[in-house]
Amino acid sequence: MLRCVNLSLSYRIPGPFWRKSTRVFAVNDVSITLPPRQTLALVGESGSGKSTTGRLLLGLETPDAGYVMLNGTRLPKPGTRRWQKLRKRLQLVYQSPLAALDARMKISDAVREPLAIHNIGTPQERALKVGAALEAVGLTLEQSSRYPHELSGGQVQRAVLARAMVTEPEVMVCDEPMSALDVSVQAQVMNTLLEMQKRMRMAILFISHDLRLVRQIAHEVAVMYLGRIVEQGPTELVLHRPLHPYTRALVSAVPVIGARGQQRIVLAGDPPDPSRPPNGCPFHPRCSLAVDRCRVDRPALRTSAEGQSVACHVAEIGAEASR
Amino acid sequence: MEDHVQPLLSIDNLHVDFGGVEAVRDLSLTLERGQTLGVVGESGSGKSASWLAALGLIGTQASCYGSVRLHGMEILNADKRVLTQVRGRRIAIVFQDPTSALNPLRSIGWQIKEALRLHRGLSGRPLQQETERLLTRVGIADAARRKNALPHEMSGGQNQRVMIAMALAGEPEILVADEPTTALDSTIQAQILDLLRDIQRETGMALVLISHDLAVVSEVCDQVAVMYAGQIIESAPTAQLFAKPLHPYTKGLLAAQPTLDGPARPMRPIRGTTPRPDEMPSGCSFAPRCDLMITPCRRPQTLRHVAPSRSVACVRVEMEG
Repeated sequence: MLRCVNLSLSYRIPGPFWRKSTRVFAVNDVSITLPPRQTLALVGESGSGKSTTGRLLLGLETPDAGYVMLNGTRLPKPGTRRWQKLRKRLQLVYQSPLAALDARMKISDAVREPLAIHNIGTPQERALKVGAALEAVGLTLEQSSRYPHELSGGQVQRAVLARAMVTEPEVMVCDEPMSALDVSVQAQVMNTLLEMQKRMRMAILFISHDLRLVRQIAHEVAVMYLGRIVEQGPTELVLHRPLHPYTRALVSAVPVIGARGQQRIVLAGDPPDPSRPPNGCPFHPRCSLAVDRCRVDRPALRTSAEGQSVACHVAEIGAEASR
Repeated sequence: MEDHVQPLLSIDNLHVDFGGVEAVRDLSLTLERGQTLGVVGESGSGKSASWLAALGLIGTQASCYGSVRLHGMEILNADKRVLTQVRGRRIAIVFQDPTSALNPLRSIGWQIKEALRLHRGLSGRPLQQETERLLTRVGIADAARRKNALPHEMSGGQNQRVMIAMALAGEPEILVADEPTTALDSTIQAQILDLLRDIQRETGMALVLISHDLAVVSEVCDQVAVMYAGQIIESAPTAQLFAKPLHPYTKGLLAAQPTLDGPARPMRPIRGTTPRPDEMPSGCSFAPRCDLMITPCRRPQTLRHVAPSRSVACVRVEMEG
């Protein structure tokens, strides 16, 4: 089980010489738990900090505050020998499949490489594992003897999944894994991912801006805004009975087939500049429900009896969960 | 007089060929005044290439055959003089990535003024006023001040609004929007789609919305053309297409689509992949992926009318009526 507690990461942006540099929080006080076999989706607009959260969870970035625990032990510093040992249990799949593979390496070699890096198995065992991984993602022997550019986008993304699963990771972070793929192929890759999870008890952090895909795979959804989680809960609740005004706007913005001229909640303005976050609730400048309190006082996450958390002064959550 | 029966734009048997590789094959369609047409297809389906070719924007490596007529006037492979009169003025286009389509060194106001001077010959006070009116119309608040901003000082969504304002500057009869919201966040996508829909209603111009997302076109367009491997394989009024898709590819696409509404159901993929343009099957281009394939599918399929405003390129549909 992977868990992170109060993670924060900020960058210093140097200003002109007469001004002090500013601090920009990419991730601010984020706590997440990823139990085995579960998928948590992180959603939000670009710049909300969802990718950075994923990188922090894998130890690819070092947090300013907070920590990451894998099965009860703290994740060691990145680059250290202990961290490298753990890396095979944590894998990352990202958006552009072609960029994830070495263009001069055949697919089967690319899938075998992690086994060599982590010193797993004898050559015979490695060949078996590679074969099993390729079969699981539905690539033929002939396809796996080709180079990445000789395959279609969907096939390459499935090869990337095979490479990520060959070390049998406990946690897989998928950062917009479907956005480079066409709809008819998305479904193939998505089903592959679901199949892999079932087989390997793997936990998935699924980072995506596409709520339609999120609904297909996630057990829980966390909505990020300006580096913070503003709502989190079971998928069907968050997507069909959203509590936070921002989540409502996100859900309402999803295009729906056959819903011509439907009324939607259109958010005024653009996502705010993270280097100048608003006072109070970070969402209040775009919120139609904002009251005076929202401008001065940042709401903390409150959790409903059904396990849906929301950081909003105005949202009605019914009976609050007892802590 | 003839103008009344002529469609606004008619494309007949358009072929686009990149050195022997056909990106668009035998594409025919008509666009009426005030019509909103959605063109959907996956990457490589020819949805953008066909419209870029029609407007003479596809570059010199491509050869284009067939006919594209605006009010009966041939514009395919037309003289640069003719195209300059048409592009921007009568047919405007908005691209996917606004930030790279704008000049980074000129203010947004300057760029809109350039279009207004060129297409409508405005100058002086009317030029200023129209620039500010257009910026306000596309939803940029405080236009008098913001018109001096450079593209990098604006967000992606605002730059797409500027692109739309520039497209509107020539008061076009047709606006072609090629994946106008793909590079934008979903909340901004919703804003831009609403804006396009409102402006289309207000001005009565025809709108061609090219997108990979069926749901996006369904929210804006009256008619949808589905493209696959360089061909239109089905065209229908929006409501009919989604209520009763006819072509197996359209059906497959709808089944593969994840949805937010309705009961959760697994996404059903279409097996195989889109054929590469240089390995196109000789018969129906979808046949190798189609569960309904029969012998006649080995012959090329062309689009046939099956009902008013409905046509489909599938021999099974024709046989079964």
